[in-house]
Amino acid sequence: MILELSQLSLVYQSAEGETEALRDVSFGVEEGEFVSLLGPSGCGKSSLLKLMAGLEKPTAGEILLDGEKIDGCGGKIGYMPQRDALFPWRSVWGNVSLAPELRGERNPESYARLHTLLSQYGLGEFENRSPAALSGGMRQRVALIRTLGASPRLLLLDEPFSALDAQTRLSVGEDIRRIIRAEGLTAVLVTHDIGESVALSDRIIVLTERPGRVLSVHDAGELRALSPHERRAHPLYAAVFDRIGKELHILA
Amino acid sequence: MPELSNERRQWLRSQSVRQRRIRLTRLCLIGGFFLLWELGVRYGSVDAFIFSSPGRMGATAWNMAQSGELWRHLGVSIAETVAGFLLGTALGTLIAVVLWWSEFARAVWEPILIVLNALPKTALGPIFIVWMGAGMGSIIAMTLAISLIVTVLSVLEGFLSTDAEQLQLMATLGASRFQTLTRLVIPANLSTLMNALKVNVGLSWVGAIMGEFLVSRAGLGYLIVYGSQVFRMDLVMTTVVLLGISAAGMYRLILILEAQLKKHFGVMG
Repeated sequence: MILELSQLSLVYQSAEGETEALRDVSFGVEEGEFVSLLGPSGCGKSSLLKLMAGLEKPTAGEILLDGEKIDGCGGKIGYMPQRDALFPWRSVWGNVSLAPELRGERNPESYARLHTLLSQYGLGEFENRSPAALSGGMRQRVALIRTLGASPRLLLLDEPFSALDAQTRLSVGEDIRRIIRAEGLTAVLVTHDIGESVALSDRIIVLTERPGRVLSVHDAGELRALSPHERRAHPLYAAVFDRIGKELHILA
Repeated sequence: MPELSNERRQWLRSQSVRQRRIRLTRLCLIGGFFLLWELGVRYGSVDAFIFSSPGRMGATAWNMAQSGELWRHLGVSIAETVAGFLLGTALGTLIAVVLWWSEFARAVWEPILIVLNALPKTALGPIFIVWMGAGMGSIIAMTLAISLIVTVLSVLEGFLSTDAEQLQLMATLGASRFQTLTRLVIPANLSTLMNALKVNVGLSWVGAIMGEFLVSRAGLGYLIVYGSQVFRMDLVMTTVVLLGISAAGMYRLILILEAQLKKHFGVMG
């Protein structure tokens, strides 16, 4: 188990009062696994991701990464925000090389790896371009490679496709999934899109409305071996989709 | 260079014709104004003693340039303005950085800054004179007082509106507060900083002239006060025009600096 969450609660305090965002959330993530957190908007799934990223502290419970308690941002976790959050004043390369720059690791080895990643995923000739010159899908790939520059143990994806149009979503989902697989990464994706979660992940954790609790866990089973595109054509896809839809009272 | 299409060439030509017409009309407007002024003085009922005239202003400027007076006064005012401008911008940005850094300091200082911002800074002039004497020090203090608080408030506001997701990204990459400042907050606010510079050029002139009104024995502000006291309107009007030219020139320099910085930082799109 690379990541373990046990009895996690989160209560926000403000002048207006208390807001309970999460209640007693426990689950684990295996090494190399792709897990989706699925739930209605406002169910606290983004808060959960921020807890895992160390951006916020839980009110109760703890999160263990490689058996160590997460306390603040340790740089071991790669975080992909909703929008790509690329820096427009830096070139593609300037963005991608941010992590080694911040760590004072401007050495040929870490740079060579990033150059390889860029050219491997079709961005080699865009290294010196501005992010503004790239399509939404390419920007997401740049954002992912920037995160990989920090060699994270765990990748957290906070609805990274929500700002893209429907067509691009499909192809970017495919791309991101392929990169994560090829690099042998462990990932947690937050989404409110049932189809996306079934197409991309090995396991789906469904959360209730606020305060978020674990409602159910679904294993992709034999879908695990398939690509997102192949999954969508598989009968099991519809079955899992249906089951989750009913649980969330979207489907009757 | 790719071959331009006919439509493109036509459009470019129409644009340059339009630009030329705008410039020409503007020139005629200004020229006409001065011409009417001059004609009014020579053949009409405009009193040159009170209103001066472009011809007399030209002669005044020429004589002052010959005697070296012009350069001396101009130099004094420019030195005061530049000193106040640099101090106000640098100090203002520094304070904004401190307040960005510490949330506690920000909460403590916020109402104080707002009160200071609302205070008419010219009211402080006499205090500066008592403290620092009737010299350049007081004038620079005046300039600083006028530009400092505005700089702090506008730069701080820019810093605080830095994109939350970009900040979170920096945090998860393990960036220190200082790295976040230099790698994200400052580059993201380059245009805010440039705007502060532009506003401060104008404010520094206000401060310098205001200060000279109160204490000085040299400078453009001094010339205006002195000229009006001895009723030499030629001198007053000439100085006002010179002031306009100098302020516009300094603003122009900031625009050039901005363009250079943009090129250097590669601010794209």
